[in-house]
Amino acid sequence: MQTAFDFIRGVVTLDEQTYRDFLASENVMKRGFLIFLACFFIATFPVFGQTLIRNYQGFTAEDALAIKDQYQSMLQMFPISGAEGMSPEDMMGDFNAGINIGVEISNLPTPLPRPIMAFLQAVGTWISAAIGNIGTWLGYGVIVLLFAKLAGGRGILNLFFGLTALVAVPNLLQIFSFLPFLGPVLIFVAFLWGAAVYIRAVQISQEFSGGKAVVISLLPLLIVLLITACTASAAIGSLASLISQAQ
Amino acid sequence: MQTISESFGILWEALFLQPQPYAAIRDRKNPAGKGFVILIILALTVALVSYIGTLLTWATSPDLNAIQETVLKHLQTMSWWEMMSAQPQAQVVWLQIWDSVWQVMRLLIPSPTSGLMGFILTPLNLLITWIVFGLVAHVMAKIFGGKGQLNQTLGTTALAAAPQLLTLFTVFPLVSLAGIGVWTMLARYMAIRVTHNLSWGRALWVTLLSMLVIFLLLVVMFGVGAAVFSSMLSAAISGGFFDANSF
Repeated sequence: MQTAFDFIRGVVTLDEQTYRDFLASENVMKRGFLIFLACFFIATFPVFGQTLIRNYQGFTAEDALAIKDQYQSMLQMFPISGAEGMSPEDMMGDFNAGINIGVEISNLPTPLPRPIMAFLQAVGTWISAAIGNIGTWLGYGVIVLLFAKLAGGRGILNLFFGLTALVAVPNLLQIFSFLPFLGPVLIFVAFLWGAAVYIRAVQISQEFSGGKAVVISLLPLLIVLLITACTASAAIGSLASLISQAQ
Repeated sequence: MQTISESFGILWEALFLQPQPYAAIRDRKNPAGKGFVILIILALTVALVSYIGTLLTWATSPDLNAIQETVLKHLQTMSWWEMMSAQPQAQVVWLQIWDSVWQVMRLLIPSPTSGLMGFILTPLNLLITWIVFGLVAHVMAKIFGGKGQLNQTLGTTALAAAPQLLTLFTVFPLVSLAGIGVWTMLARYMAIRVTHNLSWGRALWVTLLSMLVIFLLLVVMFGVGAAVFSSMLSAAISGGFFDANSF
């Protein structure tokens, strides 16, 4: 237990020796992957609890009322004109019918009893939330590794992925994501802390300087942002020209 | 039993992109044969687990007929339904489309009988993907100066299916997986690199070009298939096989 605590402390404080010891250990990627899974399963545990309660209760009349209130206040703020011949009352009536569909379907009987159904679906949602991060870890990692190799990095494939899997450790903070106000702040802190761990992992696995590691780690993100910005500005430009032509 | 546990042991090691399991298969007497056995064991396990997942998804979902009835019942209370009732022809057409949509959904929604198809489709899919990728990658590797034999390429690329182990999570309902494609690409890279003793850059090119060639082949096949189908359909219509007025 003490060893695990020391390891976590070494990772989050970006202690160089902790990263080097981990890199020198056996089966780095296997260990990294198991740490990655363990951290995200712990971090996303509130998802399990929330989904279990929600699925067990089903879509209740209170939920329906809350959605109706939101819709009504939205209609007051932004009046939407419906199809020809539709009054606001008709629109509200249609909306209510839509809500009733949700309430009734959510309360339809299932072959397995509701508590078992709620439990199994909550486990499935929890697993999806936890392992959904594997795609980002590997997908982003492939691009970073490619840039790192082109920049003269010396990291080996499985060692690189094993070390960068430690990005999951600061994400343990996500376990408090359900807290109002503090939850989103902690998620943001976990993201920034995770980025720092990732850069450290890239630096040590590729034997880069700190500056080079920062550039290589953030390059894919910058490229994505640049492409998004170019696409968005091109879309806005063509939309503006269309509007001016129409006028 | 020993073959099964040995196969899973090799796949588990191959998942973490270590060269040793790939090298061990490459150096066997009949690498392709061993790869085939490993792949079949993996495919049947994945199919079995997916089938259990399908059963649980079915058992935790309401009956589709009940959902259809519920939705229709509430749609008929909406204002647009009243407007449509003024035109009986439009209502008939609408109900025909409505029934066809639910017929399609019945085919797509998991059920105990439709899930059985997985026992045929999963092994078939894995085997075809393995053979096609193995053959294309071998040709590409030879072009890039690879030294391995076809038997060895097929043996090691069978291990590249190791990320399919992640599908074991789908034993629970509602689990969505991410990253299997990227992980498979990395495992294929490792297989080619170990088999053909190529540099990282060449192994990367072989992996990416092989996947690109297969993608282009699929595009051409679908294109030819669509062209043949549309020409047969137009010939059937123009030849009076169907009553053109019914379209």
